[in-house]
Amino acid sequence: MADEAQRSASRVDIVRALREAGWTGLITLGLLLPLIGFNTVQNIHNELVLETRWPLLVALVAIVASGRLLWGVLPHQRLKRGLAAYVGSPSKLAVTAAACWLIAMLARYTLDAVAESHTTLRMSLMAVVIIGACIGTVCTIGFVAAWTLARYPATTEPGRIRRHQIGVVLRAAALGFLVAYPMVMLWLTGFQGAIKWIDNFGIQILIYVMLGWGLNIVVGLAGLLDLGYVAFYAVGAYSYALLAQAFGLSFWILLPLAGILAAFWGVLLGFPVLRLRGDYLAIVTLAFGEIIRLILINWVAVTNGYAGVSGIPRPTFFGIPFNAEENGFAAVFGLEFSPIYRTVFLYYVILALALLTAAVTVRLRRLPVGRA
Amino acid sequence: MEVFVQQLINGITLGSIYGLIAIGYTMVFGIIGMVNFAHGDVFMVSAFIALIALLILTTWIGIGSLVLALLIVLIVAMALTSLVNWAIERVAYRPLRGSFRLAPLISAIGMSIFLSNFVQVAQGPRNKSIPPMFNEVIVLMADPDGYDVAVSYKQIVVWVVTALLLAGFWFVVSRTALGRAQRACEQDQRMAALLGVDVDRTVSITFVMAAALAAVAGTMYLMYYGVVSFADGFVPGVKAFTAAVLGGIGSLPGAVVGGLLIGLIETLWSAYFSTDYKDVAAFSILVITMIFLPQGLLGRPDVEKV
Repeated sequence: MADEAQRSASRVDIVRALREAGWTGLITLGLLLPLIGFNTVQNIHNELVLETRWPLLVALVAIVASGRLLWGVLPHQRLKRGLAAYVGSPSKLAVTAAACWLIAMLARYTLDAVAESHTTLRMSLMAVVIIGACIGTVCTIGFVAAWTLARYPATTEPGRIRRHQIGVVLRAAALGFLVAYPMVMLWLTGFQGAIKWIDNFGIQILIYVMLGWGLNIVVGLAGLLDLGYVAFYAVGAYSYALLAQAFGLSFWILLPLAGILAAFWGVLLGFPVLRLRGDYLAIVTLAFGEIIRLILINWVAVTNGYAGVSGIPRPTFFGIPFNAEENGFAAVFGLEFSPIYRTVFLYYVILALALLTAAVTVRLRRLPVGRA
Repeated sequence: MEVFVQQLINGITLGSIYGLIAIGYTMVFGIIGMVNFAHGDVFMVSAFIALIALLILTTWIGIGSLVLALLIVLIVAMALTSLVNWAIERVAYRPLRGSFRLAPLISAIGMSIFLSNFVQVAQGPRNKSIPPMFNEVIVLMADPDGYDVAVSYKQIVVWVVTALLLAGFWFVVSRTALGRAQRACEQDQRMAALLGVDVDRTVSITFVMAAALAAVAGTMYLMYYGVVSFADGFVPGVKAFTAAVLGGIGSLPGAVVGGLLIGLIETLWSAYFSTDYKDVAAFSILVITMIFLPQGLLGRPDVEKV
């Protein structure tokens, strides 16, 4: 009896799936008809006219409806069981990971052989590379996790110790990667190519990481949803920019000073605002963030409005400027001048600050303030 | 004096639009206790739907009568925006009901960003402007110095449409079974469900009604200013929310009163101080109200729910 009930539950109900797909398509059509079906463009008389995009609309509706149909007819129960068995087995994951990496690499080398003119083929090969690498990465991580779980069960004492050790090793490896990253990039891509990698993928990511950790203190640890958090980021940036321009103070004095100023603003806003709870707090902080942004934009005499502050003195290597002159960084250390040194240096500064943030956060949680 | 009266007229017009949006905030907050941040962007989407419907009617079909065109545009915009808001509620908020308190709020912020970016990608980042309509004015106070106080037809259209819709809406909420179900859900969702009210359906209908009013506001905004862009959702949205808070969130007449007040404050501020900081003024009112008068002008005293 139970077996039969289970089978009927997992049996695919085509009619129902079709009906649901039809409704989904209809709703999608209604949602997308005005904004995707029509495009408003200006003609040469500067009047708005309409263009239609029926193929795009039909394609999108078809994708959504067929996706819903597929979802409806898939045997979810069996798939779920199959996936669970798969994820639990390290050997299967290892084989899949290896296969994915192999396919991705093959596609990568075929890509080099294909001429530029075969756009479609190149695009599909690139898609294969990206998808293969993504699945490969997921499977590799899954393999490591499954292997660790299978080898060292958490229930036994030696297993727990081993897991702790693996954690320590992984953390050290991650830290080592972060420290070595600019050097590796310099070595891999050369002086010209590395700027992009260190700047966009290193410095900016670390800035976001720092912002994220800071926000985590407010939202995660204190439980206060602060939507105006970036306002403090703006306060810090403008403090540095304006003070450096007006008084010629150096980066190293202004770094803590900007922090203190932003913290001062935090205290100033905190007193009235923290009497509120939950979503009211979220909205007031949002409004404060907007007020600060609007003032920064509109107070043109001080902040130069949308054009922003330019000509901010650059950070120096503890007093030695990064330029091509006699007393510049490159000359002092007997190196050939390149703008890359500043980027690398800034990378390490921001890395140190990010690690400091992390350390402070971890300590803070143990202090009486953190426990509250 | 003339300047003041003229600004009063402009302010009431702007305030009616804010009031219509504010009702959407206040209703949704009343029924599920959530600040629907995406509501401002739903308003912007509705203005775009109205724009496209208007262009279809005037440039393709060639309807001569502007009043008829406006009526059709209103109905189309209300229907399609309702569908949009229904889908948003279904996809982004309903799965999170019963999650921790701030989850739907964060989801709504995401939805707001999604909507404005979607419109930017689908319709382009430029301002969309339409030729002005209902531009004739009625001079109320002729001034020999040349500063006449005048009411334009489009302002009258805004007032009439707003008043009619508010009356209809008031009737639905206070006199029909649906309105009773809404008020029941507002007081106690579980008890309402026990007494046979379909809570999910009532919440959906609340979102649909909020969207319909936002669509009216969007159509009026498009007609009044003659221009709309993908970024026009956030600031009117926050101002309407300010209006809802000022009037006492959860209170329907409060939303309208708050909307009118915010509209008046904004136009008078622009007339007598500076237009640059009019948004700062609105946000400051929001902050001050929230801190010193959290229950608003017409709201009930806030009871802490645990």
